[in-house]
Amino acid sequence: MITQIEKLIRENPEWLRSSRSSLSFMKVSTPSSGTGGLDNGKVLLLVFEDRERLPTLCIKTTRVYSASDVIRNNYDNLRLLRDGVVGSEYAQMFAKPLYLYDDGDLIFSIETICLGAKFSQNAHSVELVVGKYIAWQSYLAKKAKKFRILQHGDMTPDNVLVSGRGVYLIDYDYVGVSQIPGFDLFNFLSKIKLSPETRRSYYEQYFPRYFKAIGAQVKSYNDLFPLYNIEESKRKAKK
Amino acid sequence: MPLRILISGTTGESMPPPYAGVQNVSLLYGRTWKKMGYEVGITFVYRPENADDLGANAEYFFEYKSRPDKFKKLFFLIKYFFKNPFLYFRLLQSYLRVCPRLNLEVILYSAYGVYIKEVITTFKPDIILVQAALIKAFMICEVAKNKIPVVFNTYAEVHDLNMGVNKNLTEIQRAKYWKYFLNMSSLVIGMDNCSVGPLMYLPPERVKVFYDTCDYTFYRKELSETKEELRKSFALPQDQFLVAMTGAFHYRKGHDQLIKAIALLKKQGLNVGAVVIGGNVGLEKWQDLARIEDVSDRVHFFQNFSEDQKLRMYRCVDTYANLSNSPRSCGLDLALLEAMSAGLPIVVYDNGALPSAVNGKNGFVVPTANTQAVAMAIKKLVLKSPEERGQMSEESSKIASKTDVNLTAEIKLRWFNEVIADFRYWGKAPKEELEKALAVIERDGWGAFLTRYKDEFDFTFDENRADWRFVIPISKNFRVLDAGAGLGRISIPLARVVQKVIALDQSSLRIKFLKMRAEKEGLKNIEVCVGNIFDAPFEKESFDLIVMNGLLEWVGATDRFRDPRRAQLESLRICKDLLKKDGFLYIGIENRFALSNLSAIDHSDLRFTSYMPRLLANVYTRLRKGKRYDTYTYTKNGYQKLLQEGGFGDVNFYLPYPGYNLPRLMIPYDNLNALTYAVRSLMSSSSKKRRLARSLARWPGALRLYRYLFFSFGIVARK
Repeated sequence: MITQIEKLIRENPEWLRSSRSSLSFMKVSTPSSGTGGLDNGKVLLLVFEDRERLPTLCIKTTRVYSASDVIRNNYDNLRLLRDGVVGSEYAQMFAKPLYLYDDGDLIFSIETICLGAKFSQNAHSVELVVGKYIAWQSYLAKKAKKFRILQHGDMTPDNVLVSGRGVYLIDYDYVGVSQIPGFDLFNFLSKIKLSPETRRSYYEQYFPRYFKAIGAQVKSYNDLFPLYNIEESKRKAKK
Repeated sequence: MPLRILISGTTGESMPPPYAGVQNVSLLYGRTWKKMGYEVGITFVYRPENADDLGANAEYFFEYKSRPDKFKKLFFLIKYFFKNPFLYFRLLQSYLRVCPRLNLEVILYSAYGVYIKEVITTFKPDIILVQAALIKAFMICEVAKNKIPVVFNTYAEVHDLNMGVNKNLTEIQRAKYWKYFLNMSSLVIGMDNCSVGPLMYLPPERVKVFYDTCDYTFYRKELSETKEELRKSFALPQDQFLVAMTGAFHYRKGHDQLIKAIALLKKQGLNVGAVVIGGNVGLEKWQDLARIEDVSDRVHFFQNFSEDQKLRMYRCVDTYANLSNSPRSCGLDLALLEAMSAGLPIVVYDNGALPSAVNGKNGFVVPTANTQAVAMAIKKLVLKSPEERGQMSEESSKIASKTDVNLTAEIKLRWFNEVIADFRYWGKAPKEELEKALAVIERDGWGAFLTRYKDEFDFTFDENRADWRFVIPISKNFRVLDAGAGLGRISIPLARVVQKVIALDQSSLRIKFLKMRAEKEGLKNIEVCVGNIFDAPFEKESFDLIVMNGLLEWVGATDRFRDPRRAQLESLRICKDLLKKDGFLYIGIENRFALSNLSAIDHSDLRFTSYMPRLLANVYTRLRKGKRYDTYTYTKNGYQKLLQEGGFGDVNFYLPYPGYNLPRLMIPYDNLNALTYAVRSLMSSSSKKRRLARSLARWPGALRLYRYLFFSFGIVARK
């Protein structure tokens, strides 16, 4: 696979920060990737350019071709997200899809990298992330019907990167899966380590703001919690 | 590489002559295995001037240059004591632990242990066949422990209470002694009736009940001389009915009883004589007895016969008697089988296994120590017609043909291979546990196995253990050798993406598990091979990728090389030979100076040995474990040098995180930026150590140090 990747990168020097750099590859996967089932989890290869402090590209693949739908799906989802924000300030919130390689035996996608550190309650502000998120959702809702309720679908704190004032959402496996408005927000806020009071205060602060921003009439967001929980348990069962 | 068999602990003093059964048997086996293409070494006490190795042409090891006396033995003791006092005391201590009686033999034979260690280092056997479970055998087992499998050929020494240590031990002490002693062997081959000994102390599956052997083909050889000419050459009377008997001139062999039977027959007026063939001591007492019994004219004595002389003698006598009468009588001895091969009807006592030599058509079984009955049996044979005796002769030969050394050597070899395959097991769980687990899989299926043995073995169903492969340009056409495949955590995920995986492991148990796993997963492209990288039976340039995950550090633990590093180098050279041009070698291995070694046990089973200079580690391991330090790991530079010497110029290093057995991250070693990124963004930050690493990642100098102390390496070398 490395051979095909290198060839593609050399054919597309614009993907790199410096087109003549020598490249090195770092394999990355999550602790749960490759455990349990054969089809479970992606494998990433981060491409480092010589002398660059941070990686340039992210290659996503699977261990076996029979699990290739994950990559195809992830890539299509990313393209959908990009379609929604193209030309706007929100485009920088996501990776840029560059290439999908699929020869029937091997599949991998090439994306730009999202730079930032994983969201941490100690180091980052919830307001920064949620504020940016609500602004993006508001932009989508106003843009076109197609994007009326298009959520990231897996906005756990692990999938949120923060760098300076920038917020990035990574991992696009579940984009558009949930049609229940506010699920992303619930996913994010319910998984941060918080005291019940603080969590409650965040819910009270952000849910009404979110629904207002996307122009949804929701009497009480509390009524949606059972639906969020069902979606969550469906997700867990699938994982 | 052919199997290397060391036959050791041979009873008796020297290579034959003087005449001796067990030594001859050792030589016969040696000769046959050599003919079959194996390498054979045999130890003897010394080589007499007129030594005859029966054409075995094995590699011989002699304790002494000539027949040893007290002074030579003392010199031997001093010499080998000073060669390795650590080992000497360890052997002495081990023996005294199970047999608390210090005597001269134990003091001397502990030095024999040091000597045998040298023999093992020189000959580098794959298996040791020990003749008789005597003190020397104990020392051999202690020296070979955990390295080379030992097979015992036991005789009467285990069950006969009048032999060796049995005389001096109580019943409880005997049980302790033999249980420990026999359990040091991988297999016991009990000799026929004498199998009763090992069966008292070992489960039946560890004891093979076997029978003696002989050079059947040789004793069937056609001779040009007639019976008359042969008798003339031995100065034997032509008209006498002659009964032969071969064996050392000991009472237990029963020469005296044959002489008395001859006397009885003489009194009955029958012209029957005896041919008594023995060694070079003890003849006089039988000559005296023949005189007393008045049969000097018909008892003909011979000494120290060669094989040729024996054959010629057996062709000119009429029958053969084996009148062994002590509990030491084991199986059918060599001399009896040779006589039967030569076509002689037999008369034997009903002692030990002797009756099994008679099928009712080739001779007579008579009550032990009953000379009257011996005389009667011989008389019956005298009265039979030549045709009837001819039929009996054919029957005898037919029975003996089953003990032909070509057949028995084949059977033993099959057992050796099984033993070697089973012996080479190492893993987290004891061998017996894995055996039980395999039985559960076979009987109740994988579900039952998983419920019962979860987390018990170093197996996993996870597919991420071979993830290092993503940094290597692997293609679906690859042929891969997984050297040290273990339970298949690398072979299984690799087989899903390449054409063929050959899983090589020294343990047949582990390979059996792996094969079952592959079948469960429906993977038909995994071939398994039980063996060792040094004997890898593969064609040169036949692999695109060779995997040594967690193997190279263990390669030095072999007796084939004095220097563990040389063993490692040799294994790399073998890999290079097996790789196609531009093929890849992947090595997953620990860093010698890993920080985590501070809180872990090294491969030597001791703490801190990898940090020590090799010399110190060696002394320390010898003191603590009684063996050398041979599980070398290296720094990055050390591996680089080793690989270069092994013929690999193009080498790339990765830092696998959390370790080479679970490479969740494969960080390119030379890219410090990648390491910084990994430490700050991708590694867990939950532990104190990780948090420290994360703060150190801000300074390149600290990061270099961190890299130097990283747990393990993933090394990709290209041919």
